[in-house]
Amino acid sequence: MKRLFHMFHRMASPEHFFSGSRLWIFWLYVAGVLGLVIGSAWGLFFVPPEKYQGDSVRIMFLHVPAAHLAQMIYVAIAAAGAVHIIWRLKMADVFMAAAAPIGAITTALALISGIMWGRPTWGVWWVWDARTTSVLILFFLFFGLIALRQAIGRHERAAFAVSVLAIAGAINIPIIQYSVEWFTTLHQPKSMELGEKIAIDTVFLIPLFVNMAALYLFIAGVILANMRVAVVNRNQNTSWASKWFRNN
Amino acid sequence: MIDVLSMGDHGIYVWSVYAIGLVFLGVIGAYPLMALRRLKKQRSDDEDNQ
Repeated sequence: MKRLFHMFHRMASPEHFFSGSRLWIFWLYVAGVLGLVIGSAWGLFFVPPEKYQGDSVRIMFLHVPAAHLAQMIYVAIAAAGAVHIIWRLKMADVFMAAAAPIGAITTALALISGIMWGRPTWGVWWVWDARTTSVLILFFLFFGLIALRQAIGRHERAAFAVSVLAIAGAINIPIIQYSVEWFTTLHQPKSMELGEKIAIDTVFLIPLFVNMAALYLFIAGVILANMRVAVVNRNQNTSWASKWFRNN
Repeated sequence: MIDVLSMGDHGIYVWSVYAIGLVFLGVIGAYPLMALRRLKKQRSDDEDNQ
């Protein structure tokens, strides 16, 4: 625990983060890509069609991980926003800047795969119900975070405004989570919940978990890689960055 | 083979989702690596011009 705390403390320094994250990114990319290939091939070729949904159930192996991850990225950005406001930690702002576009793309993937799953399952591409609409709002929130940062010229002011918007927008996360219980919707209720019996058969559950873990690892690598670019870009005039530019 | 591709009538939906996923993940995975390279090149061009 002490070592972990020490590692996080070191990573708060841009210089240490830049040099220490390279190997992490490499292995996260490798593990993520490998896991996604295995999980997707498993889901596409080795899982039987579902009794009611037929082969369209295979969309689940990409849709569910993307939808789950999109929400987790937003929660992490909101937490980083709080960290930035309280402790003025520069790396928290770097994280918010690096993660927002990835969150937007992950949400877009969840929405598009949902639309493609809706057509054969519900008979319609889109319904304006609570779940789909709140996920669409999440997509706009990510764009709001990106646009707000670009609209405000000064770094510190932009970071504060983005932090406030991220924290305020976090109210949308429980709405997404509980929308299927609070409102009448075409979307199926939660199939997995802590402490509850899982409503998905093991034959579907294993490749789903493989893809879920793999997407988490891959996206963690991508966010770290984006942070690395932002760190060196913001510190171009420091001695360590100049040294890195000279040696590479 | 045709059965695998058509998946009943659901093949078009399933394969489209995986193709879009591949493109999205490929782009976001490659972008930071290319951005770092671009930054290095820009810096070396600036130094050459000085």
